[in-house]
Amino acid sequence: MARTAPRPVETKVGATKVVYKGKSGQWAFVGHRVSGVLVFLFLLLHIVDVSLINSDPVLYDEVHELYGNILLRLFEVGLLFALLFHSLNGLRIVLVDFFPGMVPNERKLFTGVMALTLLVGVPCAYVILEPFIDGRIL
Amino acid sequence: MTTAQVLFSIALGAVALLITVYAIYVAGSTMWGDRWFRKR
Repeated sequence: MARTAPRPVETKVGATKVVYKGKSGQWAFVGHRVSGVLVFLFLLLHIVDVSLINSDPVLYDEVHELYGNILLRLFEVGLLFALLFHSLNGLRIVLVDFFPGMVPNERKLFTGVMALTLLVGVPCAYVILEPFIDGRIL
Repeated sequence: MTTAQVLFSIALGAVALLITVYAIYVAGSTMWGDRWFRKR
């Protein structure tokens, strides 16, 4: 079995407990949860802001002007990394689920997810922040 | 800023704050209860 496999521990009442001891799978779990909730909460707001186009196009423009603000651009960069990590880590989970032979390489897969997230995320973050970097806004 | 912009900013600020608190909670929860890290 993989060296990252959780170690079952006997408790006083006889039930088994699992200790993960902070390996890559644990942090992947934490990142997946946090990025998932961020994407979900933003999606709720995004439905509201996009639906304004039907009821009041002027209001829609007003609200979407906010997305040019540096604070919101920084928020969008966070959202971008959350989306990238969540989707790529989801694929990692699917791979491990469908191909149990991947379990010993779980750490390498996680490293790949992080590397791809940064590789795609950093250039895209630059595009989002470009107006700020060029000194065009704020 | 218009009223809509203020309201939307507050809503987005609330999401940002909520996710920060949640991230601290989830990351912090790994240190509790002898489950994620074994206490010595």
